[in-house]
Amino acid sequence: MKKIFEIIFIIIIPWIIILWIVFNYNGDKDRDYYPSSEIKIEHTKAPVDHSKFEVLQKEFQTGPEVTEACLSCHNGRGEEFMKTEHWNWHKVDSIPGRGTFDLGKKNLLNNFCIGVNSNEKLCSMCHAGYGYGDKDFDFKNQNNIDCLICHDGTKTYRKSNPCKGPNLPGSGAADISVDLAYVAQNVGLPKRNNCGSCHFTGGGGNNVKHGDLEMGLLSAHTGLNGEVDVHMGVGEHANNMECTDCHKTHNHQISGQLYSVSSSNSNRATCEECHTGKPHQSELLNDHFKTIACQTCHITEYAKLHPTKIIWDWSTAARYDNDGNLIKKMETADSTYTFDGVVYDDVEIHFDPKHGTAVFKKDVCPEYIWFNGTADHFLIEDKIKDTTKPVILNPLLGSYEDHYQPADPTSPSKIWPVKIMRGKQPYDVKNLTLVQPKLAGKIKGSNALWVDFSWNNSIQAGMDYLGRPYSGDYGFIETQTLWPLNHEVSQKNQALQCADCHNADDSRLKNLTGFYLPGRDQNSLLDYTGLIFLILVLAGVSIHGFFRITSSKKKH
Amino acid sequence: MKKVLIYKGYERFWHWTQAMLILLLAVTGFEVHGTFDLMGYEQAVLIHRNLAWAFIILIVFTQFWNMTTGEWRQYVPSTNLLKAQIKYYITGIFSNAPHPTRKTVYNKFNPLQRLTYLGLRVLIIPVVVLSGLVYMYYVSLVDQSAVGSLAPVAYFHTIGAFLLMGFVIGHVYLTTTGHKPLSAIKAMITGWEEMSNEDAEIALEENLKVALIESRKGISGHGSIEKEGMFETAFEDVVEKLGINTESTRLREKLLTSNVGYFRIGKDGKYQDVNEVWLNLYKCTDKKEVIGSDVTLDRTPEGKEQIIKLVNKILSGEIITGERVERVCKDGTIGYHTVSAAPVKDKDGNTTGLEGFIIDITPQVEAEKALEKKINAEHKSNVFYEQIAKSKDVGYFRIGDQGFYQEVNETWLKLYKYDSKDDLIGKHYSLSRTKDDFIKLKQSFEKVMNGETIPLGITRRYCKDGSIGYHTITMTPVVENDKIVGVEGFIVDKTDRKMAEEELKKEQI
Repeated sequence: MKKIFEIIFIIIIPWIIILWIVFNYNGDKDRDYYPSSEIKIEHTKAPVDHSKFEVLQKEFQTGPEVTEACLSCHNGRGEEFMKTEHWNWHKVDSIPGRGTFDLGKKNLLNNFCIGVNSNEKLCSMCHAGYGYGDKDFDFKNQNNIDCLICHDGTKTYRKSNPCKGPNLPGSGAADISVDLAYVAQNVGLPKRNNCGSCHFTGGGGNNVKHGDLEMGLLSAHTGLNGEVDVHMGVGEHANNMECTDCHKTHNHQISGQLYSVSSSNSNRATCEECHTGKPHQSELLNDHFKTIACQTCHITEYAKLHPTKIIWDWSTAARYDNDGNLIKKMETADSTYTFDGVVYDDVEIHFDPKHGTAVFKKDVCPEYIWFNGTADHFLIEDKIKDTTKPVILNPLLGSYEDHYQPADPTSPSKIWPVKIMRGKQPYDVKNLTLVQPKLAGKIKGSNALWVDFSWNNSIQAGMDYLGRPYSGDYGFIETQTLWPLNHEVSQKNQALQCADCHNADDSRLKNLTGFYLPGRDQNSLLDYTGLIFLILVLAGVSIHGFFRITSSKKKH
Repeated sequence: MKKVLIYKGYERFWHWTQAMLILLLAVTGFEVHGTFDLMGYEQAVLIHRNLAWAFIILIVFTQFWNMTTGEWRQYVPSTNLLKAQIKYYITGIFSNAPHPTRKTVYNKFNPLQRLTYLGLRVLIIPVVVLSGLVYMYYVSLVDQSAVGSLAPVAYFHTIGAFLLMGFVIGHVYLTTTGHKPLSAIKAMITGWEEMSNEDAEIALEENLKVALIESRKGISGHGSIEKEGMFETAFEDVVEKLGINTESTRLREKLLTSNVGYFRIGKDGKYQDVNEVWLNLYKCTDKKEVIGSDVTLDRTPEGKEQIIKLVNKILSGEIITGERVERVCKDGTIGYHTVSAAPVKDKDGNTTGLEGFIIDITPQVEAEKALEKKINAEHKSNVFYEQIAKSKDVGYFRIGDQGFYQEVNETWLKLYKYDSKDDLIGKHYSLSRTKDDFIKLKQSFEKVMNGETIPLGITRRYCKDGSIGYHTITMTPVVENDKIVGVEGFIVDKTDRKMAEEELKKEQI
């Protein structure tokens, strides 16, 4: 009896106590967002009523007239604005390992509409200025600034779209339906609809380009209570933040770096500015700060409301059948599309001879890369080294080694979620450079692709406009651009869980190899050797025991 | 089979807690590794961390315990008997060979175990624990540029884990190689290990030895002589206090393994224990038949009376020595033995029974009877003498009228431990006596020379090698031509009996 009591006391009870502690003690604390300190967002309204100003009482005919009126009071702002990229469409930026360049929308290529040059009359629909129709635009004339596109408070201001009608003004003019005086008298600080009027419709339509910036973010209905984006959610219990709350602006310098047109790790708008580097109560989660960008876990999908374009195959545009007729329709598969050996499910496929084949997808899962905040750019003069591989137009730099041994300790590499835009676009087969075609135009014979449907002519026109050589021999090459995702942040309970990445079979980081991720990776040689070792030990003891049993039986 | 206390309480707690922690660490660890999915990655990580801390706390404290209790000595590796141990496991164990080493509480591990645990303590556990700690604090170590890629850390940790698992399998199997397959496991639970009587005896000896050495070490003082004086005194005190009579124990053991029959009877007059020799003398085959039966069972009617009287005498506190008793053997034959017995007392001094020794004297009695007959018949018979002379139990001697030995037989020589007759013939009978004994014997000698016979008596002899023996002696005159020319007689060895008497006397003191 005493023995049993002793065994219970020495062995069983310690087991129970230790197991109870081990299974119940959570040294890591809860996973809640830090509830104690709320981040205050203040939207101040200036106490000025612009409708009372005399200078704004007249009947404005054109946009520049309004700008002149604005600048009569807000003098100095014009000079100020003309230093920024929203005006210039380029800035000086450094590419690591290559030097300093003048980079921007003005001279960089993408795989949407490829390039601005020779297409300015249409592209300047999203220029914060009036009249940027060609390369001779006067960037020094401050009356050409379009103040209203950003500062309109009436939600009635829009710029004219020359493609919508035969005689509509282009080059960023105000739309003829706009009551400029009304708009001028009701200006204010920019709200989401101001920024969104351009940034939600990049690439030629709602959510075409970025994937995480779409018109639905404005709507009270779809953005209600932050289901689509927790910051921009509209409604009573939502945060209802403006773009400028994160993209802090001072004297028209807006924070935030877009890597399709930038290359250095500067002027960033980051999550840590408000949320700090330790936003979780869980230490384990905060430990991930060094390795993973906040966006990775908290942007679980993008294009939540409207599909985004994920593939743009220009090679099917302006094609002719054997009889020489322009192919106007193309048989498209139901809802899957195969590109570069990868099958894309649940997609919408559009075709027209102007644009070629476009593939749209909703609720897209991001792809993941190592990124340290710097990028390279494939410039128009750069040579294509390998035409069998896709050309990445804006390679985002970073690697696992750069994570634990960063070249720049202030910006080590982290895992970021990106949208990868894929497509096929024209290139110069002989010169091995990319080419920039003239796409937009209304006049036949202008060699714009969208009226004349001739690739060779359009490319020639575009390259002549740039003053760059073209051999006359074009082909189509696969390209990619990378778009880091920052918007459509999910609610905290929708964030990625541990097993979404730390998973041997179906990790979100399946394709990001080259480093050891516990739970996903094993060294198969090590594992097999270990298993064989254990099997050998087991076999050894079984054989030994077998012989002991048989030899003792023999004795009897 | 005996049980010996090998494992202390803390050890057992430590062993089983560590085993449980290691198994759970393995389960959660391999889930983190991605091998299977039981409780989810997140839970597995949290629990693995908690278990890791519990494990580290346990082993750190246990090293402290090892140091302070001196248990660390158990782990010092030795190559002594290493080959023998390996050979045992590879071949010996299959042919039921004895273990080359024994387990005692001061030496739990055989050399192979010591080597294995050295590997575990120096190689495997540090690898697993240290790589685990680096794994746990990886982020802050990377911040301080103390570590690079995670891969090597993870690989070391995994290698250590596989090695540890291999150890567990081997270890669990090897625990079945004890005295019986479950002996070692039971021992680790209860603390007591089953082992053969011989192993247990050796374990006991080892324990006593180490305990004595340690307590001797625990007294300060220069030189061992000083300590020894103290030590011997302390030792004797303890032995006395514990009631251990070391000399009598050895004596008793010797007696029990000699040709002396041992018995113990309870207060109720029933046999409680007898030994092999007793059974043989009573010609019984089965101890179980005797134990519990009444002491009066195997006697003649007169014998019964005598026995009851004797038993009561002893129970009242007296010691009897050398009482001659008749017995009726199981097969009906009659035998004779002398019995010496003393009461058995418990710790408090109450008599619980009696115990004693019997020495068979049947051949001697028969010889005596024959001799008496002869004495009464006053008739010498050569055949008779020859018979007696050849007897193994009876020693024959003849001494001339001057006191010189004329003849002795083989048995006599054996008893006196002489090699041959030639050493003796012609020598004086005072040779093997003390002065006192000689005077006594001279008196008897002269009496016999005068024609008297003297009754049987016990006398002491000094053997050639200096040892002492006891025997009964008869002396009759040798008559030739109607003249007494010498003394002849028989001696019957009574050494064992005398020894038994002494032993019983001592117990009473």
